[in-house]
Amino acid sequence: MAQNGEREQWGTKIGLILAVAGNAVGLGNFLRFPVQAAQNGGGAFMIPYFIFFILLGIPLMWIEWGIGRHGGTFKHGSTPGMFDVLWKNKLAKYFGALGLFISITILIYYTYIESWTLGFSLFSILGMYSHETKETMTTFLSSYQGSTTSQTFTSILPAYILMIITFFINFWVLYRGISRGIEKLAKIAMPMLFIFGVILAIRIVTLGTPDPTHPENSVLNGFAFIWNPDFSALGNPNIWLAAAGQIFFTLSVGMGTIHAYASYLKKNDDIVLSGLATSSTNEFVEVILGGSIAIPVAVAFFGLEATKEIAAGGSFNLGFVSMPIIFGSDAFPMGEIFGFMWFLLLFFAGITSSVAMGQPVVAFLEDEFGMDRKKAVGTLAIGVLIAVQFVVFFLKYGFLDEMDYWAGTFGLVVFALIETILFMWVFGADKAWKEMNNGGDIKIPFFFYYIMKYVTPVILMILMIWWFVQSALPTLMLHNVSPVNVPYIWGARVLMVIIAFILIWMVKKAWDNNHSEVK
Amino acid sequence: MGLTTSGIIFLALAWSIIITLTVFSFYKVFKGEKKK
Repeated sequence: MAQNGEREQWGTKIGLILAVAGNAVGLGNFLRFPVQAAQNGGGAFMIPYFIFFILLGIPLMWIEWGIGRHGGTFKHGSTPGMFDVLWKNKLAKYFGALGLFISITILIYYTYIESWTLGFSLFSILGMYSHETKETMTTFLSSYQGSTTSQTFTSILPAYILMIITFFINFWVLYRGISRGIEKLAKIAMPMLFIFGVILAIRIVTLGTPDPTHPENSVLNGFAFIWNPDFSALGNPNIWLAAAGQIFFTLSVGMGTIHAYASYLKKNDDIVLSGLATSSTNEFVEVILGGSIAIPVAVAFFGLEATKEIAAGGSFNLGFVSMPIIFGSDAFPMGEIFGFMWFLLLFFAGITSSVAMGQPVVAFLEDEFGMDRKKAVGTLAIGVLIAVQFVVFFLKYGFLDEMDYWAGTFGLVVFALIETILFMWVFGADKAWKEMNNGGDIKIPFFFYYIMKYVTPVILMILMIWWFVQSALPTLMLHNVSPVNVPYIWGARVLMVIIAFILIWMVKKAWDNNHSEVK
Repeated sequence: MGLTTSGIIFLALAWSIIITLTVFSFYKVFKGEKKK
């Protein structure tokens, strides 16, 4: 931990890269990517996917590392202070408050989802599910979540206890600090995630055809489902927007977390190579490991048509219902161990992301209010613990989904657009370019200057408008929402408004205090 | 169904691009660390 008011620093460069890669690698790498690829043109999806990786993903990565390191030299570890440095305007810090809002709101529900993975890894090794059907496994999950009851779970207590354990681990890591907590976690969790991912992928690839009476249900056909290209899909703009969205989500940009991590770098530390290494690590986990596990094994066990239905049912359906059925079946030898590895892998992917979501607020309290780390982490923990109660107990009423849409989907693209405009246009593209390349172990190819200045903000604007029309408006107007859920959806909105107001008030208070101190 | 030739090409291309990028960046990172 930092002493005498000095800001903390990363212990090693590889530790920093693993921590930022851990922030990017999440549940979506294993559950969202293969579903998106399979549903949007198979192999042909990779054409827009790689194009947007270059036009959107990598540029945003470098922009966020650049803003973060620049803000850190002014002793700001969160976006209100960073934006205030970039743009000498009273409003800048309030735009930055959005970075705090998004990270803390996602943290509130993400910690709970993360605790399910911890729970399911224990249930796997204890053999608590075996020979399950879709119906029994759905009941297993919903009773664990407290939405129904079953013979296994008669109350929400096990889920609540596991949530508290996950919560404690997260905040303990945050309390330990940058190098002794977050970096140490990344150095353990990321290699473990790789090892488990490779073992699972090899096991699944070598499964072949689990049921010889259905030779069409094979792992090879699972790969075919993801990779056989449908070039006609490329004429559909939805496919291009899906690819842009996937790149955007997978790199965890637009959340204020990368900025916070990069703020603990020195002025002349490299960010170009680190940003590239982070992005490529995430892509390795997503395309190579993520694409070789869930969907191929689902096709091998359930067949193509059933897998399409599973994929349409969403990521949770694939991860928490279909995968346990597979691991609990006789056709998957030592399924308890592989199930344990699958869910522990998801837990590692989750925890390295959730601690990153906690860091911006901790840094904000430390840097702008002068709190020590213990007090800052304690304050955040109390706030999150209060808010998470609503998510736990109102889960079945769509409380979590509402928070996820506004903070974890729409909010990200709005924030990314704001930061890109601020850095490349308000701060100035030439200064931003110099800032990003400063101390770089490699130089950013010059064509990225034009991509970052013109192409990335235009793509973000198109994405934002598209999502606003396609999903934000219907979500806002409560289309297709059951009348029973309506009060809870409004409850989620009120909670988010309260969080936003508290953060704006705190930003104002911090600047009022700091300003009067300067006087 | 089966993995078609174009499917194999797309899989191989995507994996090759990502593996090359990952190996390149980490080679540079470790080389830089060694120098320091």
